Amino acid sequence: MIYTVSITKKGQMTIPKDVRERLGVDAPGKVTLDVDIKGRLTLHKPVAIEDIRTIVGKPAGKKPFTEREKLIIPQVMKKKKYAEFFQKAR
Amino acid sequence: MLSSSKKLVDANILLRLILQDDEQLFQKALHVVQDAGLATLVTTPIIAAEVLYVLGGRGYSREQSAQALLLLTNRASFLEDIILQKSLQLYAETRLDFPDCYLAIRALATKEQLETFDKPLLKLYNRLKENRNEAKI
Repeated sequence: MIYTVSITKKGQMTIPKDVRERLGVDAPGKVTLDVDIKGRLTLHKPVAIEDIRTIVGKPAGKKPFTEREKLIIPQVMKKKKYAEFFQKAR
Repeated sequence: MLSSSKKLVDANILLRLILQDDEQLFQKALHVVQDAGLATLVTTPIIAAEVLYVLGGRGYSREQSAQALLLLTNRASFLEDIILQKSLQLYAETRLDFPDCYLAIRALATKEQLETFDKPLLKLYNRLKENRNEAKI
């Protein structure tokens, strides 16, 4: 369903009642707006807290240290060549 | 007299909600958010910095960490902090430390002059200042 809504001078727009009901959002409250590179606007109900971990995904940055690594690193870092070997092996 | 209805949430509560690594603490933290009234939960740049630091240590990328905090705090129960939100977005998009991102955004938002010896920060600040209208800061 496509809706056309007005925007006030202050930039406020009214979300039609049936859209609010379908999304299950109450006023006063919050919704999330996504604008893609083509200028399309999508309106979402705020993400459920339980879903944040799934949306964010598994750690994608530097590989976290394992419990074993946390124990070993302080020992091997004393010797540079072992430290280099250890980094390559990770 | 302490009579504010606002609640300042610490990094531990935010982390348990993001990481969901301890079911008992997660449920407790969830209740804090669910039971809170409209715009009563408060988070600060210091708390955000601590959360980003811990998430980084757990291997989450800058983008993931910022996204997690934004998804968590952009809800009706949290008091809206535009400067903090913009700082998190900047943190996800640049390589600067979070305090630097916060300084740049705050300086622009409040029109306070930024004084720093940090060249990358100054460069970013000047770029943001030039594109202020585009950035809507």
